[in-house]
Amino acid sequence: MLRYATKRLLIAVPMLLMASFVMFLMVSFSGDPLSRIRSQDPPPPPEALESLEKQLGLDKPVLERYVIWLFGLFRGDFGQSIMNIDIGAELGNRVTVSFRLIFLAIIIAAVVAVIVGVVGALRQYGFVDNVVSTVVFVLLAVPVFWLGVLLKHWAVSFNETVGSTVFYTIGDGSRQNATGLALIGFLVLPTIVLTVNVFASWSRYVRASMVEVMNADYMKLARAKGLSRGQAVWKHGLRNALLPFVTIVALDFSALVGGAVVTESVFQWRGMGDFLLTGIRNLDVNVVMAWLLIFAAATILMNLIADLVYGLLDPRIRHS
Amino acid sequence: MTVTDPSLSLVEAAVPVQGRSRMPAFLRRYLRNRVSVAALIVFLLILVFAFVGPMVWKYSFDVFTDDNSQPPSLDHPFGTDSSGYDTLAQVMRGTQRSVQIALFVALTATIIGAVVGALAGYYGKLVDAVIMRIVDLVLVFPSVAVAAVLAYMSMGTETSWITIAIVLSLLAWPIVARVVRSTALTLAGTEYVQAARGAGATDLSIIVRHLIPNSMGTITVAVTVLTATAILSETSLSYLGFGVQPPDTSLGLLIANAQAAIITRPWIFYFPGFFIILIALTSSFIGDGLRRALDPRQSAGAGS
Amino acid sequence: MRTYRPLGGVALLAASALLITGCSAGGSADASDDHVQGGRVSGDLNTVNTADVTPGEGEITMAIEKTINNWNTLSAAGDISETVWVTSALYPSAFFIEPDGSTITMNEDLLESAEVTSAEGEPTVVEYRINPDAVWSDGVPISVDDFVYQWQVLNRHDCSECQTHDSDGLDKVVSVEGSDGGKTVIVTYDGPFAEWKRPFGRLLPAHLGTAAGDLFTSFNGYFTSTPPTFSGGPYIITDFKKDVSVTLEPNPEWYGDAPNLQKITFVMITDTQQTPIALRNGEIQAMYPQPQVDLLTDVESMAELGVNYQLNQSLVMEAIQFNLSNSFLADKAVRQAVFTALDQQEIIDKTVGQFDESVEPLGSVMIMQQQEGYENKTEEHGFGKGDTDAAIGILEDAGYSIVDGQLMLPDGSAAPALRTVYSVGNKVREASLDVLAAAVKPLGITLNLETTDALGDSTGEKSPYGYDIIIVGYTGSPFLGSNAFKRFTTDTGYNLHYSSPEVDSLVDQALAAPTQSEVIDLINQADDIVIEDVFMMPIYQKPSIFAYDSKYGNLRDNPTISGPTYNVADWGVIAE
Repeated sequence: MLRYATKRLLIAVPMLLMASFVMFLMVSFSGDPLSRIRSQDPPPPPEALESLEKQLGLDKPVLERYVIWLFGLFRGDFGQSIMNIDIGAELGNRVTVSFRLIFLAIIIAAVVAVIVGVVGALRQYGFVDNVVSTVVFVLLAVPVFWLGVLLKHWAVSFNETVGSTVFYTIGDGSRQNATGLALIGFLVLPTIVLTVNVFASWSRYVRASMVEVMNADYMKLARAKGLSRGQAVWKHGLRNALLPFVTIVALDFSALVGGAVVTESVFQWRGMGDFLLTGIRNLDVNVVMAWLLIFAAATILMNLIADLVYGLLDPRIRHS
Repeated sequence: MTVTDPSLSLVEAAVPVQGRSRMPAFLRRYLRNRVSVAALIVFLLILVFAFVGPMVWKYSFDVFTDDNSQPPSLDHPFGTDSSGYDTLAQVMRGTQRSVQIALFVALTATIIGAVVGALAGYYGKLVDAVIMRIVDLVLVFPSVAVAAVLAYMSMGTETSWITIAIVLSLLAWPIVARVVRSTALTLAGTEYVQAARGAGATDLSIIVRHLIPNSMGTITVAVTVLTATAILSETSLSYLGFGVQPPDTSLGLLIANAQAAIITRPWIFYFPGFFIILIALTSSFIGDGLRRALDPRQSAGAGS
Repeated sequence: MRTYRPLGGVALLAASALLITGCSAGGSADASDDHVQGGRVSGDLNTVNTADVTPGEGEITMAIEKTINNWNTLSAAGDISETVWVTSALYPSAFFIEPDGSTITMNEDLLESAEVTSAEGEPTVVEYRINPDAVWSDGVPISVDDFVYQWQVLNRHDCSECQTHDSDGLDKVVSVEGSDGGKTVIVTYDGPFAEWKRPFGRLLPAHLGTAAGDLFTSFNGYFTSTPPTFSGGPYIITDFKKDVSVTLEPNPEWYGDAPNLQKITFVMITDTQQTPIALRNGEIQAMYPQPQVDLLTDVESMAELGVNYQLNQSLVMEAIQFNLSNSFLADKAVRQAVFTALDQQEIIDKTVGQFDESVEPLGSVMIMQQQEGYENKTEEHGFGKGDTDAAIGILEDAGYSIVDGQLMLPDGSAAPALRTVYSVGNKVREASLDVLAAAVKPLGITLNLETTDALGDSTGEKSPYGYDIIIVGYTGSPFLGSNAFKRFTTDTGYNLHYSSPEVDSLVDQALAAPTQSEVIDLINQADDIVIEDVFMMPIYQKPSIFAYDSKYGNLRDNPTISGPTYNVADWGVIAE
């Protein structure tokens, strides 16, 4: 098992290197990061622009800049940002903000998905199952950004009816040092928005997995042994259906990140998603590279965990 | 949309090795499912709306009328926006562009993925290992991020929508490849294939005439799933400003411009959203119907 | 600076009479002269929304569209409007510009007086007397040292490595000397200089700069990267949450009249579309966004919730510029024909007119419509009226002919198609160019529209040229001379292609003219030449919109570089 994991990691490194090189090239060739400053009216004197270029290392050829970036990485230096920030420190703050959002969404989505999926499987093709399944299908089709804006407006109308600010539309509450009920007012809308899409997908998986398990031989054996349906489900079915589910959560990490990017934009949270968008809009190569690296590493880690958990749980693989 | 959508993984589980006489049977089963048939009809109607509509509708999407901010009426069924653009025309054009991109992505990614997956499954060993590592690599990066970065590179050209479609395809093919690969792996080990090889058939002919047709179930479902995924991805990108650019329009772009209008002119906001939901929904239902029609083990079928 | 006082009846009548006769004083009119309709408040630009406010009370949260990472507003990268608004309460300026875009008022809190002591025709010498009570928030007096610091970093020779935004005229200053313990400052120029009010805005504390290192280190390092913990103005930063918000509270060492609001928070909302919702939800009470049509409709709909807004012209002009190095466009007849065939009103109707019906075609490139001295010159020359026949006449008189819908040069060859450039994604500008393309089609001229994602690069490219025709937005200024100098004189940074010795001479004279009316006269003459030469075609001025909760008084739109926070100490909650 350990050898397997190590082998996977070792292969990942050169691949990451290649991918980082390609991404670096693409971002660097996307355009001129100083163009905003150049189009200022009146434009700054050419000496100022040259000095700025030198400071940001933009006067060097792309390959040289890539090598500089790479070696800087080994020293823990993410490079100079066009926006005059310390990328390393910034990453720390932003990861915390995004993590809050994503973690909460995972927990809620997982819990609700399990409940809905199991109930649906147990009452397969019944009225409740059909209604819930249709709702789930619709939720899968709803665009995250559209839902976000919609919820914001319903929330504002709600606030107006109630006469006080229950729901907030901007920020994660840190500015106002919100706690308790007020903090919830900041968290509710973004969390719902991020949760909806993932929950729908996961609930379908749980249901499918649960149905498959219920028809498995060992379940029939359990019933034959005299256990009631409920007991059989609880003792054997649930565990077998849900343990693989853990790996699903890990593997869907990328999708969650994608949803978070949009959610942070709508609700103006200063998390990693917002950081990426700002980096791209400013053509800030070092910011974009740092972001991609962090998330590639996180995804690889998640995939590895998923593989390990699967391997541990599935005796067939363990003994292969 | 997630990598682990059950629709894909469960079709691969049900692949008997047979000739092509299956076709009429699955079609019959599909048509028996009323929901899937309804979805197919609606989807076709949307295609007509998007591609034929602009040719017959009196207003063009980029010409304004003098009616500003009108609610829906007989003259403007979807109302107008503040500049006087007819919302119906804009939604038609946006749908056209978004559906174009979504179908392009679905087909391209599926074709690439199917071919690559078949190769990996059939040849196994080194070829498989290399291909799977590439697949892993592509899937490592969050697609929104990569798409945003790459899409930025070709902004401003008339055919920029093709760039977005290509980028999204390049990010989506690994998902199909993985699934087709497992099917191909199973098939490659069967006696049928061994016999064919023994009889002198070339690798290429086996892949083309045997592996791929027998993966058609998976492949067809993949196309529908990817259509839904792609339309959500593209509209998200366009909403953020990294997708389709003005003067061209997309449903995502229409929504982005309508955010401030939702209270005063809700029709500009709701209609594009409904169409996105409709397209993704019908694609999913069609895919689900296909999957159920292809899967002879009715009771093992999941999803509604 | 306080310009309002509660008025008695007679004074009110007199003030109204002054307004009617068009006197442009700082004014003591009040909000009763304002016209309020459906949330929109209009009135005299310099005094609109004047109100009696409750002193020492109230808070406000205002949205800004950009995050602040660079605090040095004198630097090239840091000279961003939003940063200037936030820091205008911290970095004192010698003069500020009133909302009407022409009146330049001395900062009476900082300075007791600022006068020219030299005689006409001599090199300008200005004497500033700094308020003896004026101190920085750490107690160090504001003195000549701070003036010297700004002179040294901006004058281009004491700190050539400093990445400055502009010299503000300080490259013409020969010496900055102090006396009276540093409270009197004598500034000597190398010749007569009309714009002596321009420099010494947004002063930085020299003593903190010196403590940080040499000029370069303090300018590019300390003042750029450090959120200011100091202040020379009515407010001081008490909280800064990176990329989220900046909070200002009254500066305890403030030497002027106490400000009214006890807390001003600037919230950074980078997606403008999310701001109206926040305003509606009460999370912010003021916003000053880039105007968009849907935004305005949304703001209008909030009138019943108590949201007012001011909609005025900004100083930014939209203009279509020619590349005179293109041999075809080098012929004045061609340019004049194009401008004659173009209908400015048509562009307005298709673009900004959707937003604000009162926008009128702009007739000058050097003086904006709301500014003192504006004259409509395009009209005088018959330009911008969409007179296709006259345009064809001009071309034919110059030896051109139109054959099969294609313009032919006098030598018989076909006129080339023209690369017409605009910023990618800018629907408004694209619509404007569509109108132009349609207007020149009957003349047999073809325009090839193309986009650029780097407008500055396109304008500045030399080989090959980035455009034949380009549509741009240029900001006007009350400092007419320097504005014209950097845009229209030979071989200046932005202007690669146009050269007129008469214009150069007139602008140089305007920079040295002794009175404002002479400056205006000279600039108008230069303007006339540039218009007649059709270097660029002015179309309209962009609007600006300032929306706020109506319970606040003295909030006023100011589209100049001084920004809406120019009078932030006057802001307050209207007294019941």
